[in-house]
Amino acid sequence: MSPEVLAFSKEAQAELESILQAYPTKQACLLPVLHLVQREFGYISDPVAEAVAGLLDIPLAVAVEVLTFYTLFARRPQAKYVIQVCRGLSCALLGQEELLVYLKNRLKIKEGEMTPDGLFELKTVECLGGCGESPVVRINETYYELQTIDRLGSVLNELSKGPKREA
Amino acid sequence: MKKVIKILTQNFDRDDSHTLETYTKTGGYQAVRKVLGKIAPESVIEEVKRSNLRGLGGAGFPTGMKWSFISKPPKKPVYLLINGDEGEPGTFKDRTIMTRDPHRLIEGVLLASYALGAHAAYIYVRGEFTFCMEALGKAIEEAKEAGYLGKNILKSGFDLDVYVHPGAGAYICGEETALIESLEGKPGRPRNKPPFPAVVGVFGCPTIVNNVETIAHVPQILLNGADWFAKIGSDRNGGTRLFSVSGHVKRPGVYELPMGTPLREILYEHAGGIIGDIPLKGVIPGGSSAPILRPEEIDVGMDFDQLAKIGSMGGSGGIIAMAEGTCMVWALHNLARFYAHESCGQCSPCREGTGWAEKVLRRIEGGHGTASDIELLEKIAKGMSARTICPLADACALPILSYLQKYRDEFEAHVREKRCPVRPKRAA
Amino acid sequence: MASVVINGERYDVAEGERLIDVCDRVGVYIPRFCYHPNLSVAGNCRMCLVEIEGMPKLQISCNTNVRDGMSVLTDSQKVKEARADVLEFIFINHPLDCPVCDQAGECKLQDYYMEVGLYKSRMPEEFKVKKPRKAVRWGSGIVFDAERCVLCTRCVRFMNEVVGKRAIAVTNRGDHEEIALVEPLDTLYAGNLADICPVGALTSEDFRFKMRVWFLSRTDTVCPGCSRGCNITAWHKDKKIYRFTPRQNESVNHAWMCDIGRYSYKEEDSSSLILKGWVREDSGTKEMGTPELLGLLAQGLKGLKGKAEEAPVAVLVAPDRTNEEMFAICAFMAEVFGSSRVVLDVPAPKGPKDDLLLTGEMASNSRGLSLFASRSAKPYTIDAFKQDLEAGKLEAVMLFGDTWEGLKAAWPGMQEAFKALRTLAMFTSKRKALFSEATFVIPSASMIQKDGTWVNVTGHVQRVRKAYRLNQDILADNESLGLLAEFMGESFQVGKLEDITRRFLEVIAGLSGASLADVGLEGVSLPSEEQAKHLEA
Ligand SMILES: Cc1cc2nc3c(=O)[nH]c(=O)nc-3n(C[C@H](O)[C@H](O)[C@H](O)COP(=O)(O)O)c2cc1C
Ligand code: SF4
Ligand code: SF4
Ligand code: FES
Ligand code: FES
Repeated sequence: MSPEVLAFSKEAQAELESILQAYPTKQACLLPVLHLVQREFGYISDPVAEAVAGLLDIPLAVAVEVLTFYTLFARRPQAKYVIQVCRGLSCALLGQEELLVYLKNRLKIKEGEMTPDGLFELKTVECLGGCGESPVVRINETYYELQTIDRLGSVLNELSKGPKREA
Repeated sequence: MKKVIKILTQNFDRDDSHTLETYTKTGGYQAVRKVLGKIAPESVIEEVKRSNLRGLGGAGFPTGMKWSFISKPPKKPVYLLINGDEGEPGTFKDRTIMTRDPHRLIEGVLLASYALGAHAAYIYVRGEFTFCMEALGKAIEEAKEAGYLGKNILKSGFDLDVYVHPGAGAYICGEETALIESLEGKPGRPRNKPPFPAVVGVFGCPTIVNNVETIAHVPQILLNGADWFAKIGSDRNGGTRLFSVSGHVKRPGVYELPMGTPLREILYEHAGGIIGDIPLKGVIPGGSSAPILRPEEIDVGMDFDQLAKIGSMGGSGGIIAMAEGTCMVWALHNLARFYAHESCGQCSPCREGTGWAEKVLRRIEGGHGTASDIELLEKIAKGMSARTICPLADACALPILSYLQKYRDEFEAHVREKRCPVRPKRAA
Repeated sequence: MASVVINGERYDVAEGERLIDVCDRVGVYIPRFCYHPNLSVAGNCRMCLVEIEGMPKLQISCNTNVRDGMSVLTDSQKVKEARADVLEFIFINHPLDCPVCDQAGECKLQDYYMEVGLYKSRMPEEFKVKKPRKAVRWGSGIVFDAERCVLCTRCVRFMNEVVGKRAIAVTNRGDHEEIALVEPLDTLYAGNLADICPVGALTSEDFRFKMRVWFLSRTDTVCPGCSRGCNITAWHKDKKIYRFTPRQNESVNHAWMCDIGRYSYKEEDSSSLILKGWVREDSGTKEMGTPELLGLLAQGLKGLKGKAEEAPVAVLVAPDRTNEEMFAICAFMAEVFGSSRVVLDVPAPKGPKDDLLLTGEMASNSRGLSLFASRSAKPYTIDAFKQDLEAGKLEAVMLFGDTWEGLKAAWPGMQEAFKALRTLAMFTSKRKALFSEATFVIPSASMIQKDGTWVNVTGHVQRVRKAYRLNQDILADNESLGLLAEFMGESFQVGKLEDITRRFLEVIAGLSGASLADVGLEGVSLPSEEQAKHLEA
């Protein structure tokens, strides 16, 4: 493992230690460690993936399989805000399609794209497990429930106020 | 008003329901005191068997019976895995337990582990539910400090460590062997059975996988007795369950109701009826994998056996109501797309069949389908039924077949009119 | 012992045996993509579904262990429908261009869909999941074509379980799932990937598009690469070899072979072989037919008979000769010259050695030679030969075989020492094996041109089989020695090949009455030393 690639903050280092002691095999730490790495670095680059494989003593192929199987791991830099519009049936029954059209028009991007300023990225995702308060939009790790065009509009206004990208 | 029985949700109306203090004040951790080191594990399993507690993750398998598959004495460490993947569209109940009463789950985990002889348990939480992981993490810390977890719990000589494991965005990891693979740090591809997890599960050791809600029921069962629990429910379906109600209802949400409560009562009394009081067109009674019911079928009692009897299933208890004006082809396409997106990809019928069905449905829904497409769809669904490693392929095929059977005219109208006759000018 | 009923017939089985293996053994047809007897069970293709009495759902036969009394149907309507359906699923995202696919003729997909009559895919082209169209070079002679892959994961399991290197990954999921090379294959066993891939997704760069398999004839034989002696099939047409592929033999190589052996077929090409012999005369070398050559050699040798107490003649046998050739050589020397000057300990060249197949001993019959030598009270060693040569006790030396690199490495002055000889006759098949000091070169049959046996590193006797003979001048050494004796006017007779094999097996293993037929396709294991001693006693 090259230490420069996995330069962790102190808290992350502590979290890593506690992950490592929670499982009987090192490979079992892979998902939690990838989450940790993604929180630390924003995404999981190929060198980082390789370093994680080295850290956990697993073949690179395993890391690649895991990274490409699960949807929550990003292998490229992401926008500051990743907007995930739930397209599950319950949300779709209650106006998700209109929300998506609104977002596309407002942000002038298509699904899977990022605004030129790197602030927003638009995605559709499968049921987020929040159907009781449909339609649901998840932005980064926060759930925004019972969304309407108006509400979503003010959420975006609020988010647009901050700095474009974190330092 | 009917008598309200709240077991899992009894503290939900309190703001501090998630704290150890509230939980202990309301009878929490009493079952542990009663059972640990005092009642033999075999008797615990017997009690759970008699309670008619059924697996609430989807399959409805009798929990006590499942526990008895762990051979005793175990030759290897036994693991208990708690399934908090909550991925079935229309289901949002386990998250409420994890956030609003995490100690109930932890006490259940403790009791189940004691019964199984497990000394390590993992709670597998769907990756998006970071708030559940946080809540569980805090509760585990609290429980540890209070001596409910760790070594020699309440001086009973019993040890248990509980860990929270994050999923990473894959519905299939809710399937128990996929969950095991995922926990081991691999893609969540279900395993061929045999061997069953109770024999070879996680890390090559005997393993029991149970749903969050199932396990959260255990403390009250052991505290109040199997008979009390069994009596609350319906025949062979003990206790209550959390119904997640969504779609076109006035009051969507999670409702704790006795097993066997009629679907009509859930929809029209608890959930307040259909938005705008328009007629119901169809309802999914047990998560997206359950065959759909027509309005004339909603007097069914909501338990595993009664739903199975009318050709549907209890599943995850996720109820999705669809009012008149909903295009059933569109709704089915939505589901097929979900399954195609979530197929793990290993079985040829599922990998190819889910995607193929989705494409044929897209064609029909877009007005480009032909009459033979309807038969093709039926053939695809039948072709992938009962031929795969895990039931995800069936979970896609069953709804397809039921929609085709119950709303066939609507599919035919799409083909005939070359457009959607129900919602002609839908947003693109 | 247990018994199962398959399609109404009762069969004896071992309890717990895999159902698909039972079916293979008794000749009941089960289609499959993912199952391979030498890899773990993946159970993902779902082609091998069968009906088992008492089970509501069809079961995959590759993950079913038989139990006593089990009753199985493999040809019911339900099973046939399932097969056709599963096949159609596999087929919808697969290109329909068998005529241009390199796997044509060896593709399970093609075989199966012909069988169920599924000629036209129902999925319109525009709906297919598009995977990259171009074949990609994976290195180590392997080419990958993603659009033909049926995701059976045989290749992944082969690399993990057999080679022990996780170079190949299954990426993504659902119908976007794709096989990907994550690290260089970098193994001497890569060629097996092309063999085990059930379709045309992994092919051998070497064989790709060279020849349609259905034009080729096959001969089951043994790899000459190293002393493992992997069982192989040689694929040939019009006296030309196109490839070697491994043949399953659980006592030797399972289903694998290494790439050194695999590509050694090239050495069997006529361009690498000696097609006509020659004799060195004052004016230079003179090509001639083998009978004439042997006649000339016979004259020279005849004069040496009785010239000294022991005739000044010696023989070196390379560790690649068949047991029958070696036996004939020893018998010839003993009977014609009353001599035991036959060197049987010519060292094999050293090569790669691993835990899988490669033994590091790059010759096919070292073990046969050494076993035979060990039967003699005082074997004539290479050192004794050296001394005789240096002492001027030898006038003629005959070399049999092609594999001299080991000897050259161990004895750098060898060729120089040979210069002193009046006659150096080489019975050799390969051009590259020739020494410039040779005075006679008699074209010897290469492994693909002769019958006989070899003994492998673990003492397994195996048959080498003749596919063809390039011309009449080429002879196996036992055949040429028969002629040589005749030209010398000797009554010595080599005898029929079968008889030599029988005598050889008797001598080295006390296996009396064992014949070539007993050696068969799978070979026979020689008794271990203790067992042999026991037999003798
Ligand atoms: C495709 C698929 C997805 C599933 N998802 C979940 C899930 O999200 N949560 C869950 O508890 N069970 C899920 N299950 C059911 C589990 O396989 C398993 O039966 C359950 O966790 C066992 O717990 P229980 O007996 O307490 O219900 C799923 C099953 C399948 C086939
Ligand atoms: S049925 Fe589908 S999801 Fe289940 S194991 Fe097979 S491919 Fe994976
Ligand atoms: S490349 Fe061949 S062996 Fe590998 S998964 Fe694809 S079809 Fe199977
Ligand atoms: S459908 Fe959107 S959260 Fe379930
Ligand atoms: S051969 Fe049995 S599932 Fe593939």
